[in-house]
Parts: sequence; C-alpha cells; structure tokens
Amino acid sequence: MRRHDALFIFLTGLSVTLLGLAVAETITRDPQQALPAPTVQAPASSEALREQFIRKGLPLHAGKYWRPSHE
Amino acid sequence: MKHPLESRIFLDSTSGVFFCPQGAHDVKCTAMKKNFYIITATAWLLLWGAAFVFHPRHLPPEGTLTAEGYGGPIEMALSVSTDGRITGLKVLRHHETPSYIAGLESFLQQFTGKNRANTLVLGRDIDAISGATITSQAITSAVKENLSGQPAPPPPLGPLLAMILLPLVLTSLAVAALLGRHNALRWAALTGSFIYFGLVTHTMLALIQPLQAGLGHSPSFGHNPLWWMTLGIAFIGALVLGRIYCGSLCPFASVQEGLHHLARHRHAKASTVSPKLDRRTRTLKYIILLGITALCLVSGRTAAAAVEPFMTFFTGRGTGLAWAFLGLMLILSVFNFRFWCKYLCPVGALTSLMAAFSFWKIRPVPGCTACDDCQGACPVDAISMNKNGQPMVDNGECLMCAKCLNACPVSALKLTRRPR
Repeated sequence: MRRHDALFIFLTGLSVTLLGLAVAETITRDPQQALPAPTVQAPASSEALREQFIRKGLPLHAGKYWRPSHE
Repeated sequence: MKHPLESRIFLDSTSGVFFCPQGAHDVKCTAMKKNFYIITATAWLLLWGAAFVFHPRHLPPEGTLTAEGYGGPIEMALSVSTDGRITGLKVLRHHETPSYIAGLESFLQQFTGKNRANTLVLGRDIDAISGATITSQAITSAVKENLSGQPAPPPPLGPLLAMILLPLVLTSLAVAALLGRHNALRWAALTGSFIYFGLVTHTMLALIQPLQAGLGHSPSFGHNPLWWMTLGIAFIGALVLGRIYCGSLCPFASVQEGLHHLARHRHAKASTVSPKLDRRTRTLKYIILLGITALCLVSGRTAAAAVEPFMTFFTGRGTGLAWAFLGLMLILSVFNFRFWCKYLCPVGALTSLMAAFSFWKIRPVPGCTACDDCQGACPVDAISMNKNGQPMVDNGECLMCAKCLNACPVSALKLTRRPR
C-alpha cells in the first residue's frame, strides 16, 4: 500500500471517529434533554397551571402566580 | 466468456461499492453507479418519510407561550407577579440548533424583573443571543405581546426582503458563472455567500433542515424566509442544475477552497490518493447521511444532525471536540481539495443523490479527441475515461464549476438537458 494511501486512511478514520464522538456528545448534551417533560396540560385555571409547574419543579416564587398566555 | 475487466467491476459491486477502478468505466459501470444513487436515495426517503408515521405532529399545549424561533415553534412558560413584573421565563420545548442557542439561559434571565412599562427592545433592553438574532427577537416579541396583551407589530419588511433577495442574487451569480463559464464570477458568488450566509446570518444549508421539515418542526416562511431559501436553492437547484449550491454557494466550501488554493500558491503539495481508494471513501458521506437520519428518526430530535463543522466555524461556538474536528477538516482541506465535501458532508451526499438525476447535466457529446484535458481539469475527480478514452461524468460528484467545459479544446463536453 502506498504511504499516501495509508496516511489518508488513518486521517479519514480519525475524522470519522471524531465525527461519531461529536454526534454522541451532541445527543447527550442536547439542551432539550435537560428540559422538563414538554407536556403542560391545558389548565382549567391559573391555579391548576401553577400546580403543574410546582409538580415539574419549575421555579415558582412565593406569593406569585403563573399566568397562562391566554389570560 | 467475460472480459477480465467486467469481472473486476462485478467484484467491486459485490463488496458493496459500485465504483470500478479508474480508467475502466463502461456502460455496465455507469448503470451500477445509477443503481447506487437510486438505492441510497430510496433508503433516505424511506427513513425521512418514516418520521411522519412514528413522530406525530406536536401541538403546543394551551396555556404556554409560543414564539416562532429560527428552527420552529418555541414553547415557554412565563411567570408574572401580582404587580405585573416577570418573575421567570422558561423554555419548555424548542427545535433550535443546540450550538446556536448556547447562551439561552442567560438570555432568558434578562427578562426577570421587567414589566409592562419596559419597552423590551432587542439590542437596547435585552441583549440578543450572539448568532441567534431571529430566535432572540421571536422570544422578546412573544413576551412583549403577552405582557401588553396587544399583538406585536409585524417584523420590519427590509430584513425579510433581504433574506429573500440576497440569496436569489447570489444564486443568479452562481448560475451566470456556470452558463458563462466564468470562474471569477463563481468566486464572487462564493465570497458573497461566505459573507452573507456565513458571517452575517450564520445560515447555511445543514442536514438539520430537511430533518426538521420531516419531523414537522420547520419555521414558517414569513418568520424565517432564509431557512426556506437555502433549502429551496440547494435542493431545487440540485434537481435542475446539479450541485450548484455545493459548487458555488456553500460558505464552508469557500473556506476550504480558499485554504487549498492558498496552500497551492505557496507550493504546498497536494495529497495524491489512489483513485480506487478515493472513490470508495466517497461512499462514507452516504453512510453518514443515512446514519444520522436514522438516529434522528429514532430519537425524534434533530440534535444528532447538528455536528457539521461549519456551524462551529461561523458561530465561533462549539465544544472541544467540535473545534478539534473543525481543525482537522481545515488542515485536511489544505492537502486534499474539499476533503469535507468529498468524503464526509451529509448535505453534500443529499445534493449528490438529487444531482445524479438533475435535469441539466454536463454530458459528453460527439467530437471528443480523447485528450484527457477534462479529467485533469476536474478538481473533484468527477470525470473518468472509459475504455475508448471517452469522458464519463459522475454527475453526483460534479460541483458544476465548469472547469472541464473550459478545458475541452473541441467542446466535446456540454451542459445539456436530459436527452429524450
């Protein structure tokens, strides 16, 4: 095998390995993964929505309320 | 009895690679290449189409705040205190490219404490996420609209028109360069796209776009015309005129070509890989395309597709691994013309599949003197000679740079329509 071919195979293999690792890293670090389950159910009231956010551990300050966008 | 050459060609086909050794092409080989493109394109279309079946469209739940981001709808939760101040803004779901919105959390924190009295103007009251202006503007407008209870004013027409007209102008330059065989015009198109798509808007065709469209996450044309323009120009262009986007409009291609020519100008030696190895390695990009598409289909997310090195290059953001990969691609492009495009780019693979069946192609016409000049002029080795010394163009690999057309002394290669 020619020396150029061997070097080419090595560098291409290195590139594919780096690309594969980058794909794996992107999937594991996808910010969407860290977000809470994207299913805030249609609330009956602001209070119901507030309860849902509390259950999902979203930040909620004492004495404040959550206002859904349609109010 | 079979010609010995035919046996070698069949041997290649049984090993899964449909390319015969350089200088040995014949009709059978061309048919095998066509089969390769048909099989790969069908496999990709099946995977892409499966997204519709396995991932039903998601509708934003009632009560959440929705903004039209760069990559589609962004669902948010907004908390407001009794005195009308924002106490929290959280993104629940989005389809943005992860590397583009690395500063999302700190961007959202800027809204805390703002109230209806604040004007919430992006750039003045709120700092945009660098390189993600459309998304930043969309979130700001949605919050403002929710606080005030009044619909946000429509986005200014000027930037929207620019997003439609400038890509069209650049495409016209690229087409003029091909039809007029002007390499200088092609460089003008490449430089223009480097500046506009790369440096100004950080928007270039990426695999994430067709995958987002397949999963139903695409933005509307009215909110992000540039997203659709790049997609349309590349894919419609590939079906009509071959890989004109890859050849004359891709901003990362301009970087690779520029580096390669600069190095050659400084007498750096180009790498010479054996033709057989070169042709076999080119199948990698199709494997990467199918692999990433399958990953996105299984996960229902397009994050796996956001690894192309141009994102790191133009946004200036990326992990250590992403920077290492970009560095390697740039170094390799110095010695091997468009290394990323030829061997690894999944978008290039997709446009190749379309270009193989494009309406206009560079085709040999009678009159060839078998001088071999076209083969020597092709920068991506898309031309090889058959047993009779006649040129055969692999239109899937051809970048439509028109160098072969200029090199032919007897005009035996022409850009022609599909024969009837």
